[in-house]
Amino acid sequence: MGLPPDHRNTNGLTRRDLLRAAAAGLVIGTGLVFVPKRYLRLPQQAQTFVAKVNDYQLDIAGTLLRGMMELGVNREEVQGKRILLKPNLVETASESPHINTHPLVLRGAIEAFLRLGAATVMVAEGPGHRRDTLAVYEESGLADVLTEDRIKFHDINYITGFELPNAGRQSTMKTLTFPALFQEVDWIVSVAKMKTHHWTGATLSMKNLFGVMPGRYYGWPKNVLHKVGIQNSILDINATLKPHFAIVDGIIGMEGDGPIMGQPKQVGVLVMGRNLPAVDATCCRIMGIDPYKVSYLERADNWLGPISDRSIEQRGETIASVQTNFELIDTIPAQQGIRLT
Amino acid sequence: MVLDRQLPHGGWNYGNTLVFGKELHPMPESTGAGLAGLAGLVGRDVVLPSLSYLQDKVTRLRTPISLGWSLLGLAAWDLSPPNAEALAERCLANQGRYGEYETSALSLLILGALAADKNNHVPFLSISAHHDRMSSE
Repeated sequence: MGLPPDHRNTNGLTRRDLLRAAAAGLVIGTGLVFVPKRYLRLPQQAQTFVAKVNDYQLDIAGTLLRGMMELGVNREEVQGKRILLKPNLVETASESPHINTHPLVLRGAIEAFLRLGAATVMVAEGPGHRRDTLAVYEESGLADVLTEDRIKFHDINYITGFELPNAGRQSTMKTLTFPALFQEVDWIVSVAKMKTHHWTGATLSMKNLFGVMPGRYYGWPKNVLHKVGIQNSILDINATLKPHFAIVDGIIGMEGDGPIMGQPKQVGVLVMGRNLPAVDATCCRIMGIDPYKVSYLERADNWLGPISDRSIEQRGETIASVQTNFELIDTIPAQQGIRLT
Repeated sequence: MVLDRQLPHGGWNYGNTLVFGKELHPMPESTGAGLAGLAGLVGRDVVLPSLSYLQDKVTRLRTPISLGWSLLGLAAWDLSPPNAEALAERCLANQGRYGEYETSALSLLILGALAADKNNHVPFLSISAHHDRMSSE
């Protein structure tokens, strides 16, 4: 039997613990050695919830509600809140519905938040690849669902923005421009898709927030963010925006050459939580990916949230009961050597 | 530069052709813009797969940016669909579903409809045109 996840040794310490201790020792000992801040951070804690849902026709709202209650998201907290759901809509291809968050997951999330007393629930997206957001909205099937449910959809690629200082400071961007609409909501919820990614290894709830950056400021496919570094930008956006909740659609995910050209992968799960790095780390373990090998997650660890399995209280299904290796492609550098062993 | 970004099987997207050996998907709005920009500058044979892609796609488009650019791109090569007016009217009617279109998207749709209409008469514009004439008299 190999090492358990996160390379824990027989003393219960992870490689990161050892590095952290060694780094601290060097600092104390010399006072001169430069050590990256991330090795000196205090451990954080988070909870995630994993639910088995094998089909989009099942009771998604009920499942999400159960998970949210398990995570302490209750009526008292949600009552009267304005909730913005950010799906993962990138582009459409008739043979690849697994590119985008399934519309019925959005419907389930809307219903769950309304049942918890939310004042309003809206959906907003600024697709990275299409200049015609309405086309993605229509062709993904989301327009049918939201029209029927009378839920407002906002195209945030062309929306007016407001600036915030870059709280992440990982890229050279001094400020980030978010949709002005975000000033009118109380909660931002990332409703992502479980996919491998050819530039970042995996795209989950944190990477999904690329889509909140308006195309009119950042271009297509968010060129500015690519130029200053995808991993840097993911961290900057999450550190500055501070999203409130994440739901990942892993009922059917995408493996291989994601986020567009990969193959569908039946996993049959919904993963959720308040802390996005923890949710994404849990998703990675389900996908057979080591979260410490996904650069932006490793850098987020114990800053934006924990990614160690010891620091994440797992509710609902165990990871082992739903784990299924996603295909990784050897010729894609971001997917090399990231398999969980 | 624009030609360099044309997909091997036709069409344009946001600017990438192949990533890790796989050809990416074309998009109607980008293809329409590419074709409109190249009209008169390159031979038809160079853009034939893109024209075929857009001709196949245009009748299924329901949204103003995609349809507007597609009509403009095809009209630049004298390939407007015979039902262009009906397509534009259906797209306008979809505002009941999507909400009112942004001015820029609406303008694009109208430009596309005008470009597709060889007789320069688009019925759904005639009411406002008549109103404008009356106002100026």
